[in-house]
Amino acid sequence: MFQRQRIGHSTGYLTDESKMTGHADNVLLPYSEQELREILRVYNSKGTPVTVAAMRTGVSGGSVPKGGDVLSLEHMKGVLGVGKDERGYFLRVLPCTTLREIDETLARRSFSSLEDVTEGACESLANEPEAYFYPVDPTEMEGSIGGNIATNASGPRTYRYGPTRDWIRRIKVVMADGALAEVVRGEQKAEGRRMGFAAGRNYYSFDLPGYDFNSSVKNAAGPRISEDMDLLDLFIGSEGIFGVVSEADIYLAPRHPLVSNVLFFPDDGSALAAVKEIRSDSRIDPEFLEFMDARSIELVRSRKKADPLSIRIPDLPDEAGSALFFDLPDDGSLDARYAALEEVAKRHGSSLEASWCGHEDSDRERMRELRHSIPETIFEYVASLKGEMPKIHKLGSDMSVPDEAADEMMAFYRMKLEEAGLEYCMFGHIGDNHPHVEIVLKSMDEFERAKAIYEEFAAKAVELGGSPSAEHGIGKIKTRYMELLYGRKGVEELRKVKSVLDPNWILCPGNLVGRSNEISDSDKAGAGHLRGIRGRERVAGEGRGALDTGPVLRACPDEGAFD
Amino acid sequence: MPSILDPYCEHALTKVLSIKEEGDEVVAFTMGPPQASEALRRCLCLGADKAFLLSDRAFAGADTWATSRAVAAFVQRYGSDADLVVFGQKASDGETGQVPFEVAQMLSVQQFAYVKDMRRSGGSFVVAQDYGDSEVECEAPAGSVVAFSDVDPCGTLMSISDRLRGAQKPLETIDRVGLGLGLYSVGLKGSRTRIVRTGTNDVRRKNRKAVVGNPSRVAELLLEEMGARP
Amino acid sequence: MSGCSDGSCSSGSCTGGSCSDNPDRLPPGMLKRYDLNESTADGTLVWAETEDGKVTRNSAEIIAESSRISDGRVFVALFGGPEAKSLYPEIFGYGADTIYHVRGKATESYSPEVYAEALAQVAERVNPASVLIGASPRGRETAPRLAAMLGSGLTADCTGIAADGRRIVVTRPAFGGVLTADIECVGFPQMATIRQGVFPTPERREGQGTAIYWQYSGESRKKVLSVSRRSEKASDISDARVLIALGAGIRDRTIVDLAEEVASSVDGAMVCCSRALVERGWMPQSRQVGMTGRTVRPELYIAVGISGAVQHITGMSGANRVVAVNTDEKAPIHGYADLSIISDAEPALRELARLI
Repeated sequence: MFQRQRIGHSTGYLTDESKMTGHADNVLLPYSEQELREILRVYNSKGTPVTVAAMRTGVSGGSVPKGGDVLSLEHMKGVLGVGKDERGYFLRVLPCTTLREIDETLARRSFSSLEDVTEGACESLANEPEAYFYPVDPTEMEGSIGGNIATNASGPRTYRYGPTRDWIRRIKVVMADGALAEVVRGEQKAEGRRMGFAAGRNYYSFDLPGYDFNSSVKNAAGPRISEDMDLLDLFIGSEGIFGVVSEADIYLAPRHPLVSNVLFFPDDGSALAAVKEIRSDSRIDPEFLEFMDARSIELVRSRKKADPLSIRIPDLPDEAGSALFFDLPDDGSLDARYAALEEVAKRHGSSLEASWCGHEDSDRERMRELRHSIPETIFEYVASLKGEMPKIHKLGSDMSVPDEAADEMMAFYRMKLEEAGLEYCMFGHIGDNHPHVEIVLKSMDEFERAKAIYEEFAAKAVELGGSPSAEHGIGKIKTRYMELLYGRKGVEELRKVKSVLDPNWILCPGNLVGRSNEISDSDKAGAGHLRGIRGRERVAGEGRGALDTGPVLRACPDEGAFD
Repeated sequence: MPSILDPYCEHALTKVLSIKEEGDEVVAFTMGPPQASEALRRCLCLGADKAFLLSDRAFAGADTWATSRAVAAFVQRYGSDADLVVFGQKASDGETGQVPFEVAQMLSVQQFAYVKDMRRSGGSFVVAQDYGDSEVECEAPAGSVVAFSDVDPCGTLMSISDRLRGAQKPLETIDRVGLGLGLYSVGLKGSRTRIVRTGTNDVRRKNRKAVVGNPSRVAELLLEEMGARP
Repeated sequence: MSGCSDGSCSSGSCTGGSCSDNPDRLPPGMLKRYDLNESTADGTLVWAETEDGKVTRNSAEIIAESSRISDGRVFVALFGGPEAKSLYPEIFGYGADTIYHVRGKATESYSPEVYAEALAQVAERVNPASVLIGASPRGRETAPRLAAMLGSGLTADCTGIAADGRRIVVTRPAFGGVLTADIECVGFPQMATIRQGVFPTPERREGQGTAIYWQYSGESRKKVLSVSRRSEKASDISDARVLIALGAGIRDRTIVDLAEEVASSVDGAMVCCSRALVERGWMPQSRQVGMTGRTVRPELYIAVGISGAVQHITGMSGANRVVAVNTDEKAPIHGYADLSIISDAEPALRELARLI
């Protein structure tokens, strides 16, 4: 027995934060693992595809259905229990538990209603002198843990703590035919490139793809394939194409008090120069480093001007031309860190006067709001453009490169954008050499040029040893990058793995790799952008009040693929 | 319990600092347990010049009267020449903002409640009060009690240097003897009200839960409840 | 005013049948033992606040409740010129025995210093056992000043009151609203401010009693530069029939406007909120329900995205019917709701706005 509803007009199930819309007939709502297995068993035998969805906060369309039915795990949520092993405490959760719920559960510090996964763990966690937390912070607190695992989510704290992958202890996976596998880190490993594991009565045995996943930079382009890899890593970051996570154990870390800081610089150059020094200065050692360029500062100013309450921060200082965000541990070492920081700031035209710091949660929350306001402003804007330009949906510039290539990549961004005469803003995880670049578009003509440039960025990032998809994942809108990264051969090998684990290709069709080459062919057509100056429609985007910076768009070569 | 500067008080402080002139001194004070010094430290970081913490074990259990008594004694001893005695009118913990006005009476000075704004006019201060149904502008003579009843959601953020400077500023603790008050004037013993019993606030209802996934169904349910038809 | 030294005031006057079997009970005003240190305070003094020439609902509720729960006399202090005389029958109708009509140049316009002093003079004259004042903006400001003059204990923002003879015990939320505390005053007069909506609104009928002019001869020292009355009086959430209450669960600011839109098309509906939204600056404080906001008792209370912190519950538990919309099945609000809809509130409100 399981619940199935016709989707009809409730289009919520057909879209996610990528703002692309798909199509599906029904939504399936399992309340338990049992029901989930039943659903997959039935659907596998019929060969009807299902797209797994949870909180639908992804930005690459991973949970947007492409036909078939939507399998929404929204009722499978909640924290089940607490355990402890040699690495430390972990929490056992259902797949649709949101990061906010996890945070709130841990903040309550009373676990009496939870079950002990290992003996006495609840009580001992409650009695720990410091609070614990789940350190992966993809900024979106409404995201589900299942989604985080499927995409190997990361965020600002990845700078110190690593991505989701580093914090998963064990998962339970329901395979395409309803069989159940329990995967614990360290228990099942590939032998060279040969992987074999059992799930229920099945035994899967297959060759892994021959490429090596690039884990030296922030990277979210599929699972971490390598020699002797852990089975767990095959599922983490696989975007739901190999199986559905029905339960997970996530490790926790002790939370030490932090101070949030914003340091303002006169211009972009000085801030970027300071980044290098801060990163290499062991006396400062921040928790993460985020950047906001001059154009982003302008965006915040204009938003504040239109609606002072939209971001709960005081007005930005007049002399602020760019900004760096970073957290420092709030302990005895803070004064020394500030002293070192002051030297760096002075060398680059700034000072500790031109800064904000927040020790209390309310202040830190407001500074987080400021950081979040730029992507938010842009998301909102893209959504509002949908009326006039229905084919628009968001697609991130999401490239990370190794430290030594950071300058070259930055210079490349700047050169290409200036060459094309495009206005842009840049913000985000500069600590991981992973800033987001947003082009401020004014016409369809610019849109075409922007698309072309983004492809060049992706190619350049790969050439420099980076990733074209550092944290947003591949989903449905970046599948062409898989080939860019791993070549036709790599993709073909991954496809073979998929065919072994999900012979009828019912799970999340369209994510990571398509069933055949069709998609990458269509990508190619889409990527034949350079000729693409079509039409000269102007976008009616003037006088939009809150954001009179004009329409902001991100390139989307295969836009329309789902309309 | 961490001690956090109440947003109403913080707003009051920033308003005062915004009209601070050369030679003015802004003194922050509060009454509370030792950890309340954290809130005072924040005041110092935000720009107050010095701070006093009225703290004594004997102060525990003080009601409005006993609290006002201690505050009035402090103002008389340490701030008798103050131009204004400023309060934030509502404390986050459910304190009802009665203290400023009892203090005003004990000091025999004028009181100004629900103040939204304050400015200087010549040598004196002009306050704008908001009574809900009317707005009043008054001149506040020296020594008046001014209570701000507003918060600023976009309130101040201090700079790192503010923080470092604030850490160096003086913060002094004053006990009961320092205020010259007797044991029966403060705390529980000096209170004019007492709690006879506490109870739980049980107003629970018989609850029926419905899990509804479809927003339009929720909307229909609500419409039905409101007795309105689309 | 001197208070009685401790809780041993044994007077207690009772005319009701329920305590006639208690031989210690004496007729009103009579003490069992004539102790010169014993206070002879008796009766209740209420400030009848007026607004636009009418007695406020808050004051009317308090007068009626005072006359209901206590057997002592009910004195009412009324400020105003000759025009206030037309209010006498109404005030007597609520149950007042004596009206002190305070007049004088300084009392023509409100100032807390003058009003508190005039009330203190009346209190000294009538020697009441308790002084009750509405927890309105002016009441909350005047009561503490008066309490300091009279040396009284003051309990603010009460949500309940019980009388035992002339002694009263008031109830108010305590410890962040987790518990309620029953509080009594040490000595007389006992003072409390009471919220609007705590007691039922009395019916308006005419009554009779004694009215006394009280001349206040003091002067106001307040230097008022300007007064601007709000031309259009904001409607009060405590009058609403249906309240749509928004809480911290609302993350999108446009939802507030949507809710307003919905409320405007439903008869007698208004939008209110929990403290979180006031602090975010999304709604004015006059719309806040809860311990630091208003107490409301509408026919229907729709709590949207409200988790149900005790502070909030305090303000809305008097509602006739409560419907909660919340995604969190474990939110405490469900315990206080008749119907809980476990659903995402934001799309539901959008849909509702569309339907309406």
